Amino acid sequence: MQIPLDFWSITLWIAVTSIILLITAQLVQAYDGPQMLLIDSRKLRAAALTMGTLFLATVAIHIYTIITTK
Amino acid sequence: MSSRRNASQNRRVSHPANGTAQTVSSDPVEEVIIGTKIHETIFVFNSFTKLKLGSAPTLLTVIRIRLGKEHVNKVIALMMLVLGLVSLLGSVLYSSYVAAFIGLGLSFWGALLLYIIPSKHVRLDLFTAAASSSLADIQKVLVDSASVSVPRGVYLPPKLLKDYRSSLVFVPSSTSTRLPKREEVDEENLRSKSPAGIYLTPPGLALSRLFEKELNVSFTETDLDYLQRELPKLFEKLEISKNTTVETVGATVIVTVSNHIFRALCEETSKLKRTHEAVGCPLSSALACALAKATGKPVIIEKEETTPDQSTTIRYIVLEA
Repeated sequence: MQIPLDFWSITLWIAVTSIILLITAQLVQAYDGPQMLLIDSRKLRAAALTMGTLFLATVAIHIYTIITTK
Repeated sequence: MSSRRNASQNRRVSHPANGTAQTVSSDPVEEVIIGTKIHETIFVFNSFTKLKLGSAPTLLTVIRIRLGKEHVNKVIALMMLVLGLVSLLGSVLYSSYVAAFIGLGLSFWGALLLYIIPSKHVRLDLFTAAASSSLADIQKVLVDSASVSVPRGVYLPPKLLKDYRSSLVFVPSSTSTRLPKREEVDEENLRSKSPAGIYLTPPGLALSRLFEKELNVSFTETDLDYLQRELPKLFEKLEISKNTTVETVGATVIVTVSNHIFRALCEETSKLKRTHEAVGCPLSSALACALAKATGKPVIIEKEETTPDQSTTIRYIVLEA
């Protein structure tokens, strides 16, 4: 029994999620009208930035791995 | 003919809350409203009036109306989270790559939706309508108190109060009336004989307490510098205003709040002349409470005006104790 996701898969998932969140966070700020879903835009922005930072951290780990294995 | 048909469809039912008879349509759409409380009934009826023109309401629409938008959003988010966790568990048990991605996605978005849904969302006009009635009460008290001729109320510092965390406005009967001493202040009574005047609960007391709660500090433990530094940040955090300045010129403190959410309420207060002059609008009152606590001195609202660019400038005078 183990999680069938490797580090590359999680990096890819974080990348896609952070792009979606960052775009949504920017669009939500510009949108001013009746909303189907009530969103705290500040929290959404914080989550988007966290995911973006997490992705950059995984990229840094990849680069470090490449450098140290050569 | 159409009206006769409508009349035949309608029937009279007894309302469970007050026992009064109401005419309710036998239309299945409107059956949902029977047995609900009166305010819910009005809301549901108004919602379904539009739906009747189109198709019958879906299950989600009925749940949405029954629970309210916020609760529905939370239920959906929780369902996503639970499904995601189940899917993740399944992926571990069966080593499924697809289930792992689905589980990761669902649990993440479920948790995110729970996180980003605001705790409470209130329409600004409802908030303004609810708050303005209490201000009308203060106006009645001030008008009724014939002895009170001085319009400016004095926000008393904590050292004059029995409960130092509370705030109180003293409206003296004349310009020569001195401020009350600590032992003379009676927070329970409205009128004071010595010195002559009335004690009022500031309309911004609850708001100033909210500020203290958000800052996690009592204003009595702070000073004017702290307010100058922290109030603009607090107002931005609470989404009251994005641009707030606190300036000090001698004994005068000038607070400028741009494009704030209390604009409508302050406009309502300005219609009640005596209230506006004596205690100010809830925002200026809350700031006066904070100033009285932070400086430890009595404070009066000298002037409050809103410019055409939607900025409200409030001038406070800090009196010598």
